[in-house]
Amino acid sequence: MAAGIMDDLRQAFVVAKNEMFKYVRGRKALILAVLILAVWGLATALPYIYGDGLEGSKDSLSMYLGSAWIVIIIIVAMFSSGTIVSEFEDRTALVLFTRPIRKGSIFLGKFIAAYVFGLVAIMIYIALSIVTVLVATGGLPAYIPVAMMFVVVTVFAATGVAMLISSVFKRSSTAAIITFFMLFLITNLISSTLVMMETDPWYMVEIPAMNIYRSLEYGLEFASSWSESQEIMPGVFMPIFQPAYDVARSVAVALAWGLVGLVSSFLLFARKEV
Amino acid sequence: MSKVFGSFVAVDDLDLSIKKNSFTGFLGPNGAGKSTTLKILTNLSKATSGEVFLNGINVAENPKEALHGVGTVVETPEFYDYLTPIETFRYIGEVIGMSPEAIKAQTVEILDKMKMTEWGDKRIGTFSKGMRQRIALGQALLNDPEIIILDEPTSGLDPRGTAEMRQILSTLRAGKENLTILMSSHMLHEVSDLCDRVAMINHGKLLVHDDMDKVIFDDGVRKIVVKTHGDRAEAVKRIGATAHVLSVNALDNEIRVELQGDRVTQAEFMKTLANMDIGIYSVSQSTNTLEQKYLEMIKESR
Repeated sequence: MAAGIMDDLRQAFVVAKNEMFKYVRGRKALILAVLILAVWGLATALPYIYGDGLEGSKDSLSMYLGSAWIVIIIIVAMFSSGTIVSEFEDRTALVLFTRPIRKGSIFLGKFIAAYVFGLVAIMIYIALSIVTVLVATGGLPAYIPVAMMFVVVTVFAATGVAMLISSVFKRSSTAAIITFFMLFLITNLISSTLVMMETDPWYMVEIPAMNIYRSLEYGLEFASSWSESQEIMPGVFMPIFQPAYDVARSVAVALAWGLVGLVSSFLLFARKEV
Repeated sequence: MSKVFGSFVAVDDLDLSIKKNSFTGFLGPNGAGKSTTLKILTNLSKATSGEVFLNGINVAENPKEALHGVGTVVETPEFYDYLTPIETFRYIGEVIGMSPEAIKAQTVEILDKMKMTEWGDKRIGTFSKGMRQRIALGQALLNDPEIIILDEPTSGLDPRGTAEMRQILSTLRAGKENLTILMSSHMLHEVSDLCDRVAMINHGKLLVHDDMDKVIFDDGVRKIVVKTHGDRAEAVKRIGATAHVLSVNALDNEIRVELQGDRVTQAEFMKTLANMDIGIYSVSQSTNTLEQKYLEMIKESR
Protein backbone atom coordinates (compact mmCIF):
# COMPACT_ATOMS: atom_id res chain seq x y z
CA MET A 1 0.00 0.00 0.00
CA ALA A 2 2.68 2.49 1.14
CA ALA A 3 4.96 1.38 -1.71
CA GLY A 4 2.12 1.94 -4.15
CA ILE A 5 1.54 5.48 -2.87
CA MET A 6 5.28 6.20 -3.03
CA ASP A 7 5.35 5.00 -6.63
CA ASP A 8 2.31 7.18 -7.47
CA LEU A 9 4.14 10.19 -5.98
CA ARG A 10 7.34 9.31 -7.85
CA GLN A 11 5.38 9.22 -11.10
CA ALA A 12 3.74 12.55 -10.25
CA PHE A 13 7.19 14.13 -9.87
CA VAL A 14 8.30 12.65 -13.21
CA VAL A 15 5.25 14.25 -14.86
CA ALA A 16 5.94 17.53 -13.02
CA LYS A 17 9.54 17.51 -14.23
CA ASN A 18 8.43 17.06 -17.82
CA GLU A 19 5.83 19.82 -17.51
CA MET A 20 8.42 22.22 -16.12
CA PHE A 21 10.68 21.27 -18.99
CA LYS A 22 7.83 22.11 -21.39
CA TYR A 23 7.27 25.50 -19.76
CA VAL A 24 10.94 26.44 -19.79
CA ARG A 25 11.68 25.19 -23.34
CA GLY A 26 8.71 26.79 -25.03
CA ARG A 27 8.57 30.26 -26.53
CA LYS A 28 5.95 31.20 -23.98
CA ALA A 29 8.61 31.40 -21.23
CA LEU A 30 10.42 34.05 -23.24
CA ILE A 31 7.19 35.99 -23.80
CA LEU A 32 6.43 35.82 -20.08
CA ALA A 33 9.91 37.12 -19.22
CA VAL A 34 9.34 40.08 -21.56
CA LEU A 35 5.90 40.76 -20.03
CA ILE A 36 7.27 40.63 -16.47
CA LEU A 37 10.04 43.02 -17.42
CA ALA A 38 7.51 45.29 -19.13
CA VAL A 39 5.26 45.46 -16.03
CA TRP A 40 8.28 46.07 -13.78
CA GLY A 41 9.69 48.63 -16.21
CA LEU A 42 6.41 50.55 -16.38
CA ALA A 43 5.96 50.48 -12.62
CA THR A 44 9.49 51.82 -12.23
CA ALA A 45 9.41 54.41 -15.00
CA LEU A 46 5.97 56.00 -14.44
CA PRO A 47 6.74 57.53 -11.02
CA TYR A 48 9.82 59.17 -12.51
CA ILE A 49 7.96 60.36 -15.63
CA TYR A 50 4.94 61.83 -13.83
CA GLY A 51 6.36 62.54 -10.36
CA ASP A 52 9.44 62.65 -8.21
CA GLY A 53 10.26 58.97 -8.51
CA LEU A 54 9.98 56.26 -5.89
CA GLU A 55 9.38 57.77 -2.46
CA GLY A 56 8.98 55.79 0.73
CA SER A 57 9.70 52.08 0.75
CA LYS A 58 6.16 51.03 1.81
CA ASP A 59 4.32 53.10 -0.80
CA SER A 60 6.80 52.16 -3.50
CA LEU A 61 6.61 48.42 -2.85
CA SER A 62 2.79 48.68 -2.54
CA MET A 63 2.72 50.13 -6.02
CA TYR A 64 4.76 47.19 -7.40
CA LEU A 65 2.71 44.61 -5.49
CA GLY A 66 -0.45 46.27 -6.77
CA SER A 67 0.47 44.83 -10.18
CA ALA A 68 1.21 41.33 -8.81
CA TRP A 69 -2.37 40.12 -9.44
CA ILE A 70 -2.28 40.97 -13.13
CA VAL A 71 1.12 39.27 -13.44
CA ILE A 72 -0.33 36.16 -11.73
CA ILE A 73 -3.30 36.23 -14.12
CA ILE A 74 -0.96 36.42 -17.11
CA ILE A 75 1.12 33.49 -15.78
CA VAL A 76 -1.81 31.16 -15.14
CA ALA A 77 -3.53 32.10 -18.41
CA MET A 78 -0.37 31.34 -20.36
CA PHE A 79 0.72 28.17 -18.57
CA SER A 80 -1.70 26.56 -16.07
CA SER A 81 -4.73 26.94 -18.35
CA GLY A 82 -3.14 24.68 -20.98
CA THR A 83 -1.85 21.95 -18.73
CA ILE A 84 -4.83 19.54 -19.02
CA VAL A 85 -6.41 20.53 -22.33
CA SER A 86 -3.11 20.31 -24.25
CA GLU A 87 -2.80 16.55 -23.56
CA PHE A 88 -6.08 15.98 -25.41
CA GLU A 89 -5.67 18.69 -28.03
CA ASP A 90 -2.13 17.62 -28.95
CA ARG A 91 -3.04 13.91 -28.66
CA THR A 92 -0.08 13.27 -26.35
CA ALA A 93 -2.61 11.63 -24.01
CA LEU A 94 -2.51 8.63 -26.35
CA VAL A 95 1.05 7.99 -25.19
CA LEU A 96 0.97 9.02 -21.53
CA PHE A 97 -2.47 7.74 -20.52
CA THR A 98 -1.90 4.25 -21.91
CA ARG A 99 1.04 3.80 -19.54
CA PRO A 100 0.76 2.21 -16.09
CA ILE A 101 0.14 5.50 -14.29
CA ARG A 102 -2.90 6.69 -12.38
CA LYS A 103 -4.72 9.76 -13.59
CA GLY A 104 -4.26 11.12 -10.07
CA SER A 105 -0.47 11.02 -10.51
CA ILE A 106 -0.71 12.77 -13.87
CA PHE A 107 -2.97 15.45 -12.40
CA LEU A 108 -0.81 15.94 -9.31
CA GLY A 109 2.31 16.25 -11.45
CA LYS A 110 0.67 18.82 -13.67
CA PHE A 111 -0.57 20.81 -10.68
CA ILE A 112 2.85 20.78 -8.98
CA ALA A 113 4.51 22.04 -12.17
CA ALA A 114 1.91 24.75 -12.82
CA TYR A 115 1.96 25.93 -9.20
CA VAL A 116 5.73 25.91 -8.72
CA PHE A 117 6.31 27.57 -12.09
CA GLY A 118 3.69 30.25 -11.33
CA LEU A 119 5.18 30.87 -7.91
CA VAL A 120 8.75 31.12 -9.22
CA ALA A 121 7.68 33.48 -12.03
CA ILE A 122 5.79 35.87 -9.72
CA MET A 123 8.62 35.70 -7.17
CA ILE A 124 11.03 36.86 -9.87
CA TYR A 125 8.82 39.92 -10.43
CA ILE A 126 8.58 40.55 -6.68
CA ALA A 127 12.32 40.06 -6.17
CA LEU A 128 12.99 42.60 -8.94
CA SER A 129 10.57 45.00 -7.26
CA ILE A 130 12.12 44.56 -3.80
CA VAL A 131 15.64 45.15 -5.14
CA THR A 132 14.44 48.25 -7.02
CA VAL A 133 12.73 49.68 -3.91
CA LEU A 134 15.79 48.94 -1.80
CA VAL A 135 18.09 50.68 -4.27
CA ALA A 136 15.75 53.65 -4.82
CA THR A 137 14.65 54.31 -1.23
CA GLY A 138 17.44 52.71 0.79
CA GLY A 139 15.02 50.64 2.86
CA LEU A 140 12.29 48.02 2.85
CA PRO A 141 8.90 47.96 4.59
CA ALA A 142 8.00 45.52 7.30
CA TYR A 143 5.44 42.78 6.67
CA ILE A 144 7.03 41.57 3.41
CA PRO A 145 6.69 37.96 4.69
CA VAL A 146 2.92 38.52 5.12
CA ALA A 147 2.73 39.79 1.54
CA MET A 148 4.63 36.69 0.40
CA MET A 149 2.14 34.48 2.22
CA PHE A 150 -0.68 36.14 0.27
CA VAL A 151 1.28 35.60 -2.96
CA VAL A 152 1.61 31.88 -2.16
CA VAL A 153 -2.13 31.41 -1.55
CA THR A 154 -3.22 33.68 -4.40
CA VAL A 155 -1.14 31.72 -6.94
CA PHE A 156 -2.74 28.56 -5.52
CA ALA A 157 -6.23 30.00 -6.03
CA ALA A 158 -5.49 31.22 -9.56
CA THR A 159 -3.88 27.89 -10.52
CA GLY A 160 -6.95 26.00 -9.29
CA VAL A 161 -9.27 28.19 -11.37
CA ALA A 162 -7.03 27.91 -14.47
CA MET A 163 -6.82 24.10 -14.18
CA LEU A 164 -10.59 23.85 -13.83
CA ILE A 165 -11.00 25.85 -17.03
CA SER A 166 -8.32 23.66 -18.64
CA SER A 167 -10.39 20.56 -17.88
CA VAL A 168 -13.55 22.02 -19.40
CA PHE A 169 -12.44 23.29 -22.79
CA LYS A 170 -11.12 21.48 -25.85
CA ARG A 171 -8.63 24.08 -27.06
CA SER A 172 -5.69 25.58 -25.19
CA SER A 173 -6.26 29.00 -26.75
CA THR A 174 -9.90 29.07 -25.59
CA ALA A 175 -8.88 27.98 -22.09
CA ALA A 176 -6.22 30.71 -21.94
CA ILE A 177 -8.65 33.44 -23.05
CA ILE A 178 -11.42 32.28 -20.71
CA THR A 179 -8.95 32.08 -17.78
CA PHE A 180 -7.75 35.61 -18.45
CA PHE A 181 -11.24 37.05 -18.74
CA MET A 182 -12.55 35.04 -15.82
CA LEU A 183 -9.89 36.31 -13.42
CA PHE A 184 -9.33 39.76 -14.88
CA LEU A 185 -12.86 40.79 -15.83
CA ILE A 186 -15.67 38.57 -14.62
CA THR A 187 -14.70 38.12 -10.97
CA ASN A 188 -13.50 41.71 -10.91
CA LEU A 189 -16.84 42.90 -12.27
CA ILE A 190 -18.72 40.97 -9.60
CA SER A 191 -16.43 42.33 -6.86
CA SER A 192 -16.74 45.91 -8.16
CA THR A 193 -20.54 45.67 -8.28
CA LEU A 194 -20.61 44.40 -4.71
CA VAL A 195 -18.24 47.14 -3.60
CA MET A 196 -20.44 49.79 -5.24
CA MET A 197 -23.30 48.37 -3.22
CA GLU A 198 -21.05 48.74 -0.16
CA THR A 199 -21.09 44.96 0.34
CA ASP A 200 -17.80 43.38 1.37
CA PRO A 201 -16.86 40.82 -1.35
CA TRP A 202 -14.65 38.93 1.11
CA TYR A 203 -15.32 35.61 -0.65
CA MET A 204 -14.05 36.77 -4.04
CA VAL A 205 -10.64 35.69 -5.36
CA GLU A 206 -9.47 39.32 -5.77
CA ILE A 207 -9.51 39.90 -2.02
CA PRO A 208 -6.43 37.78 -1.16
CA ALA A 209 -4.83 39.21 -4.32
CA MET A 210 -5.56 42.73 -3.12
CA ASN A 211 -4.18 41.86 0.29
CA ILE A 212 -0.77 41.19 -1.25
CA TYR A 213 -0.14 44.95 -1.19
CA ARG A 214 -2.56 45.85 1.63
CA SER A 215 -0.58 43.57 3.94
CA LEU A 216 2.29 46.08 3.82
CA GLU A 217 -0.02 48.51 5.63
CA TYR A 218 -1.70 46.20 8.13
CA GLY A 219 0.59 43.20 8.54
CA LEU A 220 -1.27 40.61 10.61
CA GLU A 221 -3.69 43.11 12.16
CA PHE A 222 -7.41 43.16 11.38
CA ALA A 223 -8.83 46.25 9.65
CA SER A 224 -12.55 46.93 9.32
CA SER A 225 -14.15 47.91 6.06
CA TRP A 226 -14.72 51.61 5.54
CA SER A 227 -16.33 53.87 2.98
CA GLU A 228 -16.07 57.50 2.04
CA SER A 229 -17.23 59.77 -0.72
CA GLN A 230 -14.41 61.00 -2.90
CA GLU A 231 -14.53 63.89 -5.39
CA ILE A 232 -13.26 62.44 -8.67
CA MET A 233 -14.07 65.57 -10.75
CA PRO A 234 -15.18 69.03 -9.60
CA GLY A 235 -18.64 68.51 -8.18
CA VAL A 236 -18.69 64.76 -8.97
CA PHE A 237 -18.46 62.46 -5.96
CA MET A 238 -18.00 58.71 -6.00
CA PRO A 239 -18.34 56.37 -3.04
CA ILE A 240 -15.11 54.54 -2.22
CA PHE A 241 -15.46 51.29 -0.31
CA GLN A 242 -12.53 49.46 1.18
CA PRO A 243 -13.23 45.82 2.15
CA ALA A 244 -12.17 44.54 5.52
CA TYR A 245 -8.63 43.25 5.91
CA ASP A 246 -8.74 39.87 7.61
CA VAL A 247 -5.65 37.67 7.15
CA ALA A 248 -7.10 34.33 8.28
CA ARG A 249 -10.34 34.74 6.33
CA SER A 250 -8.53 35.91 3.22
CA VAL A 251 -6.08 32.99 3.29
CA ALA A 252 -9.01 30.59 3.78
CA VAL A 253 -10.83 32.15 0.81
CA ALA A 254 -7.78 31.72 -1.45
CA LEU A 255 -7.32 28.12 -0.33
CA ALA A 256 -11.03 27.44 -0.91
CA TRP A 257 -10.91 28.85 -4.46
CA GLY A 258 -7.81 26.77 -5.19
CA LEU A 259 -9.17 23.57 -3.67
CA VAL A 260 -12.62 23.80 -5.26
CA GLY A 261 -10.97 24.53 -8.61
CA LEU A 262 -8.56 21.62 -8.31
CA VAL A 263 -11.07 19.05 -7.06
CA SER A 264 -13.57 19.99 -9.79
CA SER A 265 -10.79 19.95 -12.36
CA PHE A 266 -9.65 16.49 -11.29
CA LEU A 267 -13.19 15.09 -11.36
CA LEU A 268 -13.64 16.36 -14.92
CA PHE A 269 -10.17 15.19 -15.96
CA ALA A 270 -10.68 11.69 -14.52
CA ARG A 271 -13.91 11.28 -16.51
CA LYS A 272 -12.51 12.69 -19.73
CA GLU A 273 -12.07 10.14 -22.53
CA VAL A 274 -9.68 10.32 -25.46
CA MET B 1 -18.38 -5.42 -23.13
CA SER B 2 -20.35 -2.68 -24.85
CA LYS B 3 -19.76 0.97 -25.60
CA VAL B 4 -22.56 3.34 -26.45
CA PHE B 5 -22.26 6.97 -27.58
CA GLY B 6 -25.72 8.50 -27.27
CA SER B 7 -27.90 6.33 -29.50
CA PHE B 8 -24.92 4.87 -31.41
CA VAL B 9 -23.70 1.46 -30.32
CA ALA B 10 -19.97 1.42 -31.11
CA VAL B 11 -19.21 -1.91 -29.46
CA ASP B 12 -22.06 -4.35 -29.05
CA ASP B 13 -21.64 -7.02 -26.39
CA LEU B 14 -18.19 -7.96 -27.65
CA ASP B 15 -16.76 -11.11 -26.09
CA LEU B 16 -13.18 -11.57 -27.21
CA SER B 17 -10.33 -13.41 -25.55
CA ILE B 18 -6.90 -13.01 -27.12
CA LYS B 19 -4.73 -16.12 -27.02
CA LYS B 20 -1.46 -15.70 -25.15
CA ASN B 21 1.67 -15.49 -27.33
CA SER B 22 -0.39 -15.06 -30.48
CA PHE B 23 -0.17 -12.31 -33.09
CA THR B 24 -3.82 -11.46 -33.62
CA GLY B 25 -5.05 -9.28 -36.45
CA PHE B 26 -8.10 -7.22 -35.53
CA LEU B 27 -10.12 -6.51 -38.66
CA GLY B 28 -13.23 -4.57 -39.48
CA PRO B 29 -14.45 -1.76 -41.74
CA ASN B 30 -14.37 1.90 -40.70
CA GLY B 31 -16.65 2.50 -37.75
CA ALA B 32 -16.76 -1.20 -36.86
CA GLY B 33 -15.58 -0.48 -33.31
CA LYS B 34 -11.91 -1.50 -33.56
CA SER B 35 -10.36 1.71 -32.22
CA THR B 36 -13.04 2.05 -29.54
CA THR B 37 -12.28 -1.49 -28.38
CA LEU B 38 -8.55 -0.81 -28.28
CA LYS B 39 -9.11 2.47 -26.43
CA ILE B 40 -11.15 0.68 -23.78
CA LEU B 41 -8.47 -1.97 -23.57
CA THR B 42 -5.79 0.68 -22.98
CA ASN B 43 -7.81 2.75 -20.47
CA LEU B 44 -8.32 5.70 -22.80
CA SER B 45 -12.06 5.13 -22.67
CA LYS B 46 -14.49 3.31 -20.39
CA ALA B 47 -16.90 0.56 -21.43
CA THR B 48 -20.56 1.43 -20.96
CA SER B 49 -21.10 -2.09 -19.68
CA GLY B 50 -18.97 -5.17 -19.22
CA GLU B 51 -15.37 -5.66 -18.23
CA VAL B 52 -11.99 -5.71 -19.93
CA PHE B 53 -8.97 -7.58 -18.62
CA LEU B 54 -5.27 -7.49 -19.42
CA ASN B 55 -3.29 -10.39 -18.01
CA GLY B 56 -6.35 -11.16 -15.92
CA ILE B 57 -6.46 -7.68 -14.32
CA ASN B 58 -9.53 -5.49 -14.73
CA VAL B 59 -8.40 -2.43 -16.73
CA ALA B 60 -11.10 -0.06 -15.45
CA GLU B 61 -10.63 -1.03 -11.81
CA ASN B 62 -6.85 -1.23 -11.71
CA PRO B 63 -5.38 0.37 -14.83
CA LYS B 64 -1.91 0.80 -13.36
CA GLU B 65 -1.50 -2.92 -12.67
CA ALA B 66 -3.29 -3.99 -15.85
CA LEU B 67 -1.13 -1.85 -18.14
CA HIS B 68 2.11 -2.97 -16.53
CA GLY B 69 4.16 -4.77 -19.17
CA VAL B 70 1.94 -3.56 -21.99
CA GLY B 71 3.15 -1.48 -24.94
CA THR B 72 0.62 0.46 -26.98
CA VAL B 73 0.33 2.49 -30.15
CA VAL B 74 -3.23 3.78 -30.39
CA GLU B 75 -4.24 5.72 -33.50
CA THR B 76 -1.46 8.11 -34.51
CA PRO B 77 -0.14 9.39 -31.22
CA GLU B 78 1.62 12.71 -31.03
CA PHE B 79 4.65 13.39 -28.93
CA TYR B 80 5.80 16.36 -26.92
CA ASP B 81 7.36 18.26 -29.80
CA TYR B 82 9.82 20.03 -27.52
CA LEU B 83 11.42 16.67 -26.69
CA THR B 84 13.83 14.56 -28.72
CA PRO B 85 13.29 10.78 -29.09
CA ILE B 86 15.97 10.18 -26.45
CA GLU B 87 14.22 12.57 -24.04
CA THR B 88 10.83 11.04 -24.87
CA PHE B 89 12.08 7.53 -24.11
CA ARG B 90 13.65 8.85 -20.89
CA TYR B 91 10.35 10.42 -19.86
CA ILE B 92 8.29 7.31 -20.63
CA GLY B 93 10.97 5.10 -19.04
CA GLU B 94 10.94 7.17 -15.85
CA VAL B 95 7.15 7.11 -15.73
CA ILE B 96 7.11 3.31 -15.88
CA GLY B 97 9.89 3.04 -13.30
CA MET B 98 12.83 1.86 -15.40
CA SER B 99 16.34 2.50 -14.09
CA PRO B 100 18.42 5.19 -15.88
CA GLU B 101 20.82 2.47 -17.09
CA ALA B 102 18.01 0.36 -18.52
CA ILE B 103 16.49 3.41 -20.23
CA LYS B 104 19.83 4.28 -21.83
CA ALA B 105 20.48 0.74 -23.01
CA GLN B 106 16.95 0.26 -24.37
CA THR B 107 17.00 3.67 -26.08
CA VAL B 108 20.14 2.80 -28.03
CA GLU B 109 18.75 -0.59 -29.01
CA ILE B 110 15.30 0.69 -30.01
CA LEU B 111 16.58 3.65 -31.99
CA ASP B 112 18.78 1.23 -33.88
CA LYS B 113 15.89 -1.18 -34.42
CA MET B 114 13.70 1.69 -35.67
CA LYS B 115 16.52 3.06 -37.83
CA MET B 116 16.27 6.36 -35.98
CA THR B 117 19.70 6.52 -34.34
CA GLU B 118 20.81 9.63 -36.21
CA TRP B 119 17.56 11.39 -35.21
CA GLY B 120 17.82 10.55 -31.53
CA ASP B 121 18.78 14.06 -30.44
CA LYS B 122 16.54 16.03 -32.81
CA ARG B 123 13.27 17.52 -31.61
CA ILE B 124 10.23 15.43 -32.62
CA GLY B 125 8.39 18.58 -33.72
CA THR B 126 10.33 18.43 -36.99
CA PHE B 127 9.61 14.74 -37.74
CA SER B 128 7.49 13.31 -40.57
CA LYS B 129 4.50 11.07 -39.85
CA GLY B 130 6.49 7.94 -40.67
CA MET B 131 9.24 8.92 -38.25
CA ARG B 132 6.70 9.68 -35.52
CA GLN B 133 5.09 6.30 -36.12
CA ARG B 134 8.44 4.59 -35.64
CA ILE B 135 8.99 6.56 -32.42
CA ALA B 136 5.49 5.53 -31.36
CA LEU B 137 6.33 1.87 -31.84
CA GLY B 138 9.72 2.44 -30.18
CA GLN B 139 8.20 3.87 -27.00
CA ALA B 140 5.77 0.93 -26.92
CA LEU B 141 8.73 -1.46 -26.85
CA LEU B 142 10.68 0.43 -24.19
CA ASN B 143 9.89 -1.84 -21.27
CA ASP B 144 10.22 -5.03 -23.32
CA PRO B 145 6.45 -5.65 -23.07
CA GLU B 146 4.75 -9.01 -23.00
CA ILE B 147 1.67 -7.55 -24.66
CA ILE B 148 1.68 -5.07 -27.53
CA ILE B 149 -1.51 -3.36 -28.70
CA LEU B 150 -1.27 -1.66 -32.07
CA ASP B 151 -3.96 0.39 -33.77
CA GLU B 152 -3.26 0.53 -37.50
CA PRO B 153 0.51 0.91 -37.13
CA THR B 154 1.08 1.42 -40.86
CA SER B 155 -1.76 3.89 -41.36
CA GLY B 156 -0.69 6.93 -43.36
CA LEU B 157 2.80 5.64 -44.07
CA ASP B 158 4.32 5.68 -47.54
CA PRO B 159 5.12 2.30 -49.17
CA ARG B 160 8.68 2.32 -47.88
CA GLY B 161 7.58 3.25 -44.37
CA THR B 162 4.91 0.56 -44.49
CA ALA B 163 7.41 -2.09 -45.58
CA GLU B 164 9.87 -1.04 -42.87
CA MET B 165 7.20 -1.08 -40.19
CA ARG B 166 6.07 -4.53 -41.33
CA GLN B 167 9.67 -5.74 -41.24
CA ILE B 168 10.06 -4.42 -37.69
CA LEU B 169 6.86 -6.17 -36.58
CA SER B 170 7.91 -9.39 -38.23
CA THR B 171 11.34 -9.27 -36.55
CA LEU B 172 9.72 -8.44 -33.25
CA ARG B 173 7.50 -11.46 -33.43
CA ALA B 174 10.32 -13.76 -34.47
CA GLY B 175 12.67 -12.46 -31.79
CA LYS B 176 10.52 -13.14 -28.75
CA GLU B 177 8.44 -16.16 -27.84
CA ASN B 178 6.63 -14.71 -24.86
CA LEU B 179 4.90 -11.92 -26.74
CA THR B 180 1.24 -11.33 -27.47
CA ILE B 181 0.37 -8.80 -30.14
CA LEU B 182 -3.06 -7.46 -30.97
CA MET B 183 -3.03 -5.33 -34.10
CA SER B 184 -5.90 -3.62 -35.83
CA SER B 185 -5.40 -2.95 -39.51
CA HIS B 186 -7.15 -2.23 -42.77
CA MET B 187 -4.38 -3.94 -44.72
CA LEU B 188 -5.62 -7.48 -45.20
CA HIS B 189 -2.43 -8.77 -46.78
CA GLU B 190 -0.52 -7.24 -43.87
CA VAL B 191 -2.65 -9.15 -41.39
CA SER B 192 -2.43 -12.26 -43.54
CA ASP B 193 1.39 -12.03 -43.67
CA LEU B 194 2.06 -11.14 -40.05
CA CYS B 195 -0.67 -12.64 -37.92
CA ASP B 196 -1.36 -16.21 -36.88
CA ARG B 197 -4.85 -15.44 -35.59
CA VAL B 198 -7.56 -13.11 -36.75
CA ALA B 199 -10.62 -11.48 -35.19
CA MET B 200 -13.17 -9.70 -37.34
CA ILE B 201 -15.81 -7.30 -36.10
CA ASN B 202 -18.55 -5.27 -37.72
CA HIS B 203 -21.10 -2.94 -36.11
CA GLY B 204 -19.29 -3.63 -32.84
CA LYS B 205 -20.08 -7.35 -32.98
CA LEU B 206 -17.54 -10.15 -33.23
CA LEU B 207 -17.94 -12.07 -36.50
CA VAL B 208 -15.12 -14.55 -36.16
CA HIS B 209 -12.04 -15.17 -34.03
CA ASP B 210 -9.81 -18.10 -34.76
CA ASP B 211 -6.48 -19.25 -36.20
CA MET B 212 -5.74 -17.55 -39.51
CA ASP B 213 -5.72 -20.89 -41.32
CA LYS B 214 -9.07 -21.92 -39.90
CA VAL B 215 -10.65 -18.60 -40.88
CA ILE B 216 -9.25 -18.57 -44.39
CA PHE B 217 -9.52 -22.29 -45.05
CA ASP B 218 -12.70 -23.00 -43.12
CA ASP B 219 -13.77 -25.40 -45.90
CA GLY B 220 -10.36 -27.07 -45.79
CA VAL B 221 -9.50 -25.88 -49.29
CA ARG B 222 -6.13 -24.15 -49.72
CA LYS B 223 -5.51 -22.13 -52.87
CA ILE B 224 -1.98 -22.20 -54.25
CA VAL B 225 -0.52 -20.40 -57.24
CA VAL B 226 2.30 -22.15 -59.15
CA LYS B 227 4.42 -20.54 -61.89
CA THR B 228 6.50 -22.55 -64.29
CA HIS B 229 8.67 -21.80 -67.28
CA GLY B 230 8.33 -25.39 -68.48
CA ASP B 231 5.54 -27.20 -70.31
CA ARG B 232 2.36 -25.99 -68.62
CA ALA B 233 0.14 -28.77 -69.93
CA GLU B 234 2.52 -31.35 -68.52
CA ALA B 235 2.70 -29.42 -65.23
CA VAL B 236 -1.12 -29.28 -64.94
CA LYS B 237 -1.34 -33.00 -65.63
CA ARG B 238 1.28 -33.97 -63.05
CA ILE B 239 0.04 -31.57 -60.38
CA GLY B 240 -3.50 -32.79 -60.92
CA ALA B 241 -2.36 -36.33 -60.24
CA THR B 242 -0.91 -35.39 -56.86
CA ALA B 243 -2.67 -36.50 -53.68
CA HIS B 244 -5.26 -34.12 -52.10
CA VAL B 245 -5.43 -31.87 -55.18
CA LEU B 246 -9.06 -30.99 -55.91
CA SER B 247 -8.58 -28.94 -59.06
CA VAL B 248 -5.88 -27.47 -61.29
CA ASN B 249 -6.43 -24.60 -63.74
CA ALA B 250 -3.94 -22.87 -66.01
CA LEU B 251 -4.69 -19.18 -66.21
CA ASP B 252 -2.49 -16.63 -67.98
CA ASN B 253 1.02 -17.41 -66.85
CA GLU B 254 0.12 -19.23 -63.66
CA ILE B 255 -1.41 -22.49 -62.52
CA ARG B 256 -4.03 -22.31 -59.78
CA VAL B 257 -4.31 -25.31 -57.53
CA GLU B 258 -6.99 -26.13 -54.96
CA LEU B 259 -5.73 -28.45 -52.27
CA GLN B 260 -7.83 -30.27 -49.69
CA GLY B 261 -6.11 -30.41 -46.32
CA ASP B 262 -4.23 -28.62 -43.59
CA ARG B 263 -0.74 -27.14 -43.25
CA VAL B 264 0.86 -30.58 -43.13
CA THR B 265 -0.88 -31.55 -46.35
CA GLN B 266 0.34 -28.34 -47.95
CA ALA B 267 3.92 -28.99 -46.75
CA GLU B 268 3.81 -32.46 -48.33
CA PHE B 269 2.43 -31.00 -51.52
CA MET B 270 5.27 -28.44 -51.67
CA LYS B 271 7.82 -31.20 -51.21
CA THR B 272 6.23 -33.16 -54.07
CA LEU B 273 6.26 -30.07 -56.31
CA ALA B 274 9.94 -29.47 -55.59
CA ASN B 275 10.76 -32.96 -56.75
CA MET B 276 8.72 -32.76 -59.96
CA ASP B 277 11.34 -31.06 -62.12
CA ILE B 278 8.76 -29.25 -64.28
CA GLY B 279 10.43 -25.80 -64.30
CA ILE B 280 8.61 -24.36 -61.25
CA TYR B 281 10.11 -21.00 -60.27
CA SER B 282 7.40 -19.66 -57.94
CA VAL B 283 4.88 -21.15 -55.49
CA SER B 284 2.69 -18.88 -53.41
CA GLN B 285 -0.47 -18.84 -51.37
CA SER B 286 -3.33 -17.10 -53.13
CA THR B 287 -3.24 -13.63 -51.50
CA ASN B 288 -6.88 -12.75 -51.89
CA THR B 289 -8.24 -15.51 -49.68
CA LEU B 290 -8.41 -13.43 -46.48
CA GLU B 291 -9.89 -10.59 -48.49
CA GLN B 292 -12.57 -12.88 -49.91
CA LYS B 293 -13.37 -14.21 -46.45
CA TYR B 294 -13.43 -10.70 -45.01
CA LEU B 295 -15.77 -9.38 -47.70
CA GLU B 296 -18.07 -12.38 -47.35
CA MET B 297 -18.34 -11.93 -43.60
CA ILE B 298 -18.83 -8.18 -43.73
CA LYS B 299 -21.54 -8.64 -46.38
CA GLU B 300 -23.31 -11.28 -44.29
CA SER B 301 -23.23 -9.10 -41.18
CA ARG B 302 -24.92 -6.09 -42.82
